[in-house]
This record gives sequence, structure tokens and C-alpha cells, in this order.
Amino acid sequence: MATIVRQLPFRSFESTLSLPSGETVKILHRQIVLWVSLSSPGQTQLTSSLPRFPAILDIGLNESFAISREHFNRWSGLIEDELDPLEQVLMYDRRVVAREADLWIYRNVPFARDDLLEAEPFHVEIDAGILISPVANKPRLPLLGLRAFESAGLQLLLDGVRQLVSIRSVL
Amino acid sequence: MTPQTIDLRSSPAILQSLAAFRRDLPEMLDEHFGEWVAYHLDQRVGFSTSKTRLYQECLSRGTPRGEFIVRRVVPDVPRIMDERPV
Repeated sequence: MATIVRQLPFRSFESTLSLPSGETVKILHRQIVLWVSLSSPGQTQLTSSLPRFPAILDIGLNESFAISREHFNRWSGLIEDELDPLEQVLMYDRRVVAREADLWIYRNVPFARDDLLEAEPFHVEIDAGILISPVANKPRLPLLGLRAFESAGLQLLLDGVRQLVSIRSVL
Repeated sequence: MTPQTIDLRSSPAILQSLAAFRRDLPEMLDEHFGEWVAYHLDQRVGFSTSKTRLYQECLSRGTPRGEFIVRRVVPDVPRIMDERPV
């Protein structure tokens, strides 16, 4: 059983976070932030040129991963049309096509949200594609949902007293 | 800025592969629940515990991206995204 995210803090107050590009984003209170990258499928290692960006852990999301088109274009390092279109999904009352992709979760330094270990990120094989939103600026930040936990065999440990989250793989 | 035009159509090969996956899904759920399965057109390529391995298998057979699918063997339901209230 491998631990991917160790004692990652979430906060009861608003904070900001800086991307490697220097862009800053607002993190609302009690949002759990993971650092992730997207890639096309079939890769055993993450291409080092693919950037990392924040995603909110949202177990209320019934898909694997959802991102606004603005963030996808600006942050992912990928080109939407180069990801295979799979099937249509209803998102914000509009039809979108799920795109084939995989996701990588970065390993944090325990008790630190934005300090990351040098180790290879954990590969999340995404089932049935990611969703790129047709609605401007929605979701406000990328969301990592329950379907990704299911397909990757992940366990989530949430300590509400100490405001810490750990994620481990059981496969 | 010009609005980006996004093509919502999947390739005929992917649609055919998806149709074959859905056709076989009921019987696969019994013996292969949770595994990954690859389809190229009407043909099942194989099962694996790894999506990546099946991807590489399809590519090594000369099947180009965009002409096959790799899916988990789980119940297939109409997909309506819902998230936490914002």
C-alpha cells in the first residue's frame, strides 16, 4: 500500500497559491488542494515538460476530473483536439465530449500543501475521459472527483480534527 | 478573442468500439468487474489490470490512437456531471 499524499493540510481560512508560472489563485476556506498534471494516456512516466497545477479534491464530483477550458488551455500544456474524443456527457446543462487523458498526483512534503517531493508523481489512470467545461470560468478551479479514486484504487483519510488529508493507493 | 470551436463528434472507430464494449458489458461485469478492457472496432483486444498496458498493446499492434478505446469494466450509466454546490 503506497501513500501518495501525506498529512496534507487544509485550512479553515482563505489562502493564495502560486503556480510555477507565477500566477496566483485564491483557495477558499476548507478546500483541499492537490497538485496534478494531465497527460495523454499510454505513458508510463510523466513527461517532464508537462506543467503542474492545482486541483480541488471534490468527492461530491461524480466524474474523474473537470476543468474550465481557460485553465486547460493555460495550465495543462496539452491541446484539447489532440486528446481522443470519447463520448458525450451533460455538464452544466450542456453537452461536452469527454476527452481521453490520464492524471498524475504530486507527492507532498508531510504537513505542507505546496512543498512537493522530488519523487515521480502517482499515475491515475482515468476511466472514460476528463471533462473540459463549455461554460466560461466554471469550475472556478479544476476538480478531482470520486470516479478517479475508484479507477485508481485510492483510499482517502480525512482528519477533520487536525485538518489533514492523506491519500494512499491500495492496488 | 475568437471563440474556440470544439468538435463534439467522436471518430466512427471510437463509436464502434464503444458500441462493442456496451454490447459485451453485461457478461464482462460477472467475471471481469473492475478490470480494464480494450476494444478496437468490433473486436475485444484483451483485459488487464492496467489501462496503460492495454494502450501500449494496442499501439504495438499498429492500431493508431483514436481508433480504439480502453475502459474499466464497471456499470455504464448516462453521464451527467454533478459537483458540490458552489
